[in-house]
Amino acid sequence: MSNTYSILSCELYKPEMAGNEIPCIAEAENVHLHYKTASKLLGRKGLRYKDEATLMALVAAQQILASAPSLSDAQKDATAIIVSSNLGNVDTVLKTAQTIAQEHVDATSAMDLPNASSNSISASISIVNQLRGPNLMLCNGQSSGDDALQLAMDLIDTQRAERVLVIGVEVSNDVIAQYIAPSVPRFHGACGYLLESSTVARAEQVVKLHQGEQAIAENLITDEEIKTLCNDASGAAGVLKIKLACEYASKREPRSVSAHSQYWQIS
Amino acid sequence: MTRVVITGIGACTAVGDDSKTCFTEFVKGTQGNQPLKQLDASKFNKPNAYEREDQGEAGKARSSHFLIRAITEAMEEVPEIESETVPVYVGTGLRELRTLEVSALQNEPTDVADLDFSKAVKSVLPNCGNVYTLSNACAASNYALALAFDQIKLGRTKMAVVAGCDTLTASMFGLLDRVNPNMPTAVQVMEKSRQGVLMGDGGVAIVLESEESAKSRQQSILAEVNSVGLSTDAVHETAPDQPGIERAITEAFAQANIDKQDIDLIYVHGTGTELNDSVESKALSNFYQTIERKPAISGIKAMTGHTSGASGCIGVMSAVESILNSVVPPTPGTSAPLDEVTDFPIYAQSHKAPIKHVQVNAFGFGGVNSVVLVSEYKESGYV
Repeated sequence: MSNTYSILSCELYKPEMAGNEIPCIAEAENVHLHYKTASKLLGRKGLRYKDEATLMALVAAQQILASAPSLSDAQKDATAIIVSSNLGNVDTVLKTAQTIAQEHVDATSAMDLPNASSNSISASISIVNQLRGPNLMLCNGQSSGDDALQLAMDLIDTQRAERVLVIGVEVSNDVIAQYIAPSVPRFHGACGYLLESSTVARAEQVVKLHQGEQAIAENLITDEEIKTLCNDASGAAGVLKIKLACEYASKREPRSVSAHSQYWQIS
Repeated sequence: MTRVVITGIGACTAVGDDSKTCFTEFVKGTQGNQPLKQLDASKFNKPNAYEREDQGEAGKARSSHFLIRAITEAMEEVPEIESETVPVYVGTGLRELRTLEVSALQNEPTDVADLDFSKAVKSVLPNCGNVYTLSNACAASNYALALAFDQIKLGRTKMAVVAGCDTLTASMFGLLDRVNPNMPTAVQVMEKSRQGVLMGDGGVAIVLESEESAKSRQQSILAEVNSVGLSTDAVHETAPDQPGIERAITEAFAQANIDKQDIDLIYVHGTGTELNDSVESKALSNFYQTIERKPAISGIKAMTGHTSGASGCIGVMSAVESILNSVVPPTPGTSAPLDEVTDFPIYAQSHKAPIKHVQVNAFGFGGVNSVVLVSEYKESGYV
């Protein structure tokens, strides 16, 4: 069982945001990501019927994998995916339900079928990147991003995976604003990291998570801090905490995060 | 090595309000398909679904309602699950998205916190540990089982609750209707003339604990979870993939202390769709080709419909009951099984036989596959 984990890369993607660090979010608008734009960024076709959460998550995943050492086929088999999102497919679900209520099921689009299932995001990432380890879609409310870190460590400890690609993604659009409470400014984007056990970490320059005592809580990145910087990020909040900690680590200012009752210093 | 055992179960489906009634009706071959009630039938082409009668709160929070019912039943056998150290893993395909649909059609917003099951779990287990809502499509509750199983194996918790719950959403029922040109009135598992899938309501809860923990309280042990194999196809969003399914089966047996010739019964995923049943039957035929005495096959979805994320652990619940009652439930509606599985007994009436080891399959959209091996509990083990 490992007490130290390494983050090989950590990336934030928000459509048309200038810069790629957490403080940039405050100055950025929530811009809709068109599938053609995503197609250009990802250099692939076949994205027309993906929902926006999936598109943003795919871009973040590509950036994370591109900034880490490349994976062999065997390593891809041992790479798990955990996606955390609460609002990911809300727009597809409501659009379809409203079409049925106002007209008939025959008026719906068969191409929306994959998105009616909440795990279309994590599934799409596995297909596009050929990652065949355990694939988990976590929709666990406000704590979902923190839980994703815990479950990622669990998958490594149980040897179900050598490494885990963790992505937090949320969407903010008119449908969400109208039908999701509370009505607050929301984070619109995707963020994630690649976590490995330090004993097998494949890069020399990595950010490490050291398990610590509650005493390190004075440097804890709190939910409130993330809300101030990123708006209400719901299922992505816990993942954004790791990104912020990585940014501090690059300035040699270690901060810590907590997942459940455990504390992790990130340096 | 820590052994993981099942000490409590609870369930509800279209054919029963508790696990015992559900299984009794499975053995009778009672099918829960009825004309659509919770959704406006005039808006759909498919006339039937496997719904439960309970309304929920004006059509809202129905999944939560099924979950609470199942956990409450499991708690009667194992009241200790209401402890702050017991984590709860809930697998669901569609979360409370039906609540979101109902509210939106009334022009009312839904609180983000009402989309997952933390509130529902805490309403019956106010002191429990962490609650996880895992939305892994139709394999969700078996993925939840895998995570809980691992935690007990690692010694991080002595006990965990694994649950599954789902109800029909208009969007999923509708889109499955939209893509199926046939007109199924019931789910016909691995039948040549099958017409497609119909969804069903369901809730299930299973108490898992270490053998040591159960023994320390003189808790009666219902069965043992031998292993849980997981795999991801990484091939297609909705279509199943035979090599992916075979990887999950192979992984389950690689972790287990039994071999394929020990399996007496397979609870298949068996959704009655053209693709799933074709691919699943090929995978089973391939995996068991060297075994002369093929295990029996039972397809619960003929009785319950496709209960989505709950279906995997409803299979695990049925495996436990099959072991305890030495009986294989029938698979009504399957008279001409697919060629790949004609060597596997599929019964029209229930069949009495000693059942020691059961394989439970659950596969989901997105190519998420899970295979659970459940064994009769024997103190001496199987090695």
